Amino acid sequence: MDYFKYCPWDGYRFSDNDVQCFICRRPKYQLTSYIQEEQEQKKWEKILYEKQPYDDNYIDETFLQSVQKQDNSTNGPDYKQLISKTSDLIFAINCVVFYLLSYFLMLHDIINTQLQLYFWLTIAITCLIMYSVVKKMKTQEILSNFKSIGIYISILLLFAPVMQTVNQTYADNTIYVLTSVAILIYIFLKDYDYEKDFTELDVSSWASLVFSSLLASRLHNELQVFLMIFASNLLFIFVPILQRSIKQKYNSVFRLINLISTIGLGLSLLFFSYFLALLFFGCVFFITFVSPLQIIWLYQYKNTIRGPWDLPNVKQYD
Amino acid sequence: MVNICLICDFFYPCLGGVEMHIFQLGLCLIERGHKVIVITHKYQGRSGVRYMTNGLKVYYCPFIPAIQTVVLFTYIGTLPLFRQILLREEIHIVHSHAATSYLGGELLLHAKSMGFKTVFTDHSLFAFNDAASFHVNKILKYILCETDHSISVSHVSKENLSMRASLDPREISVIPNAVDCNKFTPNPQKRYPLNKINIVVICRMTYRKGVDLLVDVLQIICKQHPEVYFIIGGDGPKKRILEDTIQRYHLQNQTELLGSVPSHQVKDVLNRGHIFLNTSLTEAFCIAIVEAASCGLCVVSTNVGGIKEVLPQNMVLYANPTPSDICDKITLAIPLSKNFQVYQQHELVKQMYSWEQVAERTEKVYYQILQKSNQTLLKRFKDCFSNGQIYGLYLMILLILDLVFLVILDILQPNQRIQKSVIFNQVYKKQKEKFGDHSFKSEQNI
Repeated sequence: MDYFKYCPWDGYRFSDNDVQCFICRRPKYQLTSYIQEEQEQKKWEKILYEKQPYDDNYIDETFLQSVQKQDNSTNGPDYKQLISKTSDLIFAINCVVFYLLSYFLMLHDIINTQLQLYFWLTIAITCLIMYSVVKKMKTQEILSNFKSIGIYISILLLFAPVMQTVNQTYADNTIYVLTSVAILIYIFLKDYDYEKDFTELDVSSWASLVFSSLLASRLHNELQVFLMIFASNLLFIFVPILQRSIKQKYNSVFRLINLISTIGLGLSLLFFSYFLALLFFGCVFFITFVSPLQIIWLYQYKNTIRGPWDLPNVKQYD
Repeated sequence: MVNICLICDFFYPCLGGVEMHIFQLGLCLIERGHKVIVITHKYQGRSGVRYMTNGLKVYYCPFIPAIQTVVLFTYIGTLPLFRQILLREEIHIVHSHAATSYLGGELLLHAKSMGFKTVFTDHSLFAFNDAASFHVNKILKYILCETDHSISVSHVSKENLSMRASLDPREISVIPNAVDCNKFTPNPQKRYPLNKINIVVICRMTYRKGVDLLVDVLQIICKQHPEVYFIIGGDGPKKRILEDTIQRYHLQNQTELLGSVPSHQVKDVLNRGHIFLNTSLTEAFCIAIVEAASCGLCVVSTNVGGIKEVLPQNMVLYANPTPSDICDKITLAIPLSKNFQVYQQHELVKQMYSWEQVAERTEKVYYQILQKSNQTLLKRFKDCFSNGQIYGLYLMILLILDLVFLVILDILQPNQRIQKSVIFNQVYKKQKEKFGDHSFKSEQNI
């Protein structure tokens, strides 16, 4: 007795031992329930241009054979690969924590503003040198980049007094709530796959500018405001460009930088609060080691149905 | 005689595949002795009741289209007028077309509550893995669980429909589209420009029609074959990309952009060509290649969706949806097109597809469902719940609302008080001379 190979309702592939569909629980139908049993009848073909001696609602054994369902048992994601992919998210979180730490230090005048200025300028120059080395830039290009940074710094210095007063009228609570929301937007909408070109700012970049301007309005003087906005542009706009360039060529270097920055940040937080340090390390551990396990566990429930109705991947012109 | 109501958001004066299907089906069903009306929303300058060829009565109802000629789903807003139309015309079957026509879906649900038989025809393919498809499939599942029978235009479309809406495949018939071959006749004398191999492309300039592929193919073929001349008709958001490509690669001498081509001029454009190129990324049926084949052109097409079922291998060169493969097939088609048997191909296509056949097969579906008994209310509630517990509850509430409103309308405007309309075509057939010559001639423009 011949039976259907697939359930006609949901495409579930029957095994030899199945008596009913696993998904919809309908019984496994016999082909003879549907096939017209004339011995010399022409074989049914999947065509429309010829009139065939079958009813229009005839169902052949090839029905739904073009459906391809994802085999989740063998094609699951690799644990090591997933761990390495979490490094981008950890790096973004490190940047945010580092920025917030600098803000805290500045707000409470724990470290001298002048020292912070030298620190951030040093970081900026270091990042620029690293970028030039990775991209193998010529001297002229490097000088041009330095010139652009110089112009940018002077414009920022000009606008620092304005930025200090823009959000001054808002209460502290409002500022911190808005900052939290903007940070979450930055982390969730960041382009971790580097699909977009860096010629335009995306939503996450705008979110970073928003929370940096909000926080800057709580600071005491214009130099601090300038530093905070400069730091945010460096950490959230330029450093991702540098990160992508380094990752493309020297992935192990990027991972080393990530590891050192994570440990360094965690230890720095220890000076302020054990709880914060524990929370930070806990988050990093959860994202790096526990979340990939969850994704692998969830993958068995993924139900991808592909067939001739799917649009092929074609290069799009905008 | 069966009284049929065809419903869709898309109808004349818009002229596309779905619109032509409804129009031609309606005319052929009238020829077979049935009464047919069409319900659609109003268009600019077109509102109220109109009579088209052969007495096809069209109700352009005052429902305002919200997005892209599709009426907003109000559910109850359309009920009073729709009820009156169906009772006045003494309809037996309500037949909706196109999954994206919310007017059709909404009125199918009302028709079911009123006890009429319902049929749905699907014209498109939808995937399962993008946000738009999720929503359309979810709504379609609810609408189609109430429908007595469904029709799809190809076998791939049947598989797609049965999976999207979880339908019993025995309740889906495959009735393909057709082409009016008397209108699309070959005329090699009209090929222009001379001494060139003319490749015709007529499509909407959208992503789904593969304009991005066409851009790549254009550059390669024009470079490899200087004797080729592209005639490109159609309009849409991607037209600018074509224009930029032609400008950038200096292809002005080998291409001609016609812009939007009116329906009655499509045949003339096709007759100018040797080869017809279709680069669609997905198609349930693709009437365009049948029209081109009917005009005697050699067809090169992507083998996506249901296209492979439409024409035999000796009439079409199928290519994978990649620029290189399409270019290879065009290269093969160029020498073939020079000595193509245009009239023979036209005769073959004429035997393959006709609207009379479509009407005959659709009529069988109508007779089949008329013999079935109506669904009970309990069955309808169970069908609502089969869509999920929360969504099913919401659908049940909608169903109850529908029934309550129908009761109210029955009290306010009983069936007996609604004046029944005269059957135009019966009266017309007895006194043809009085009405003038409205016989169905396919050469006439619509």
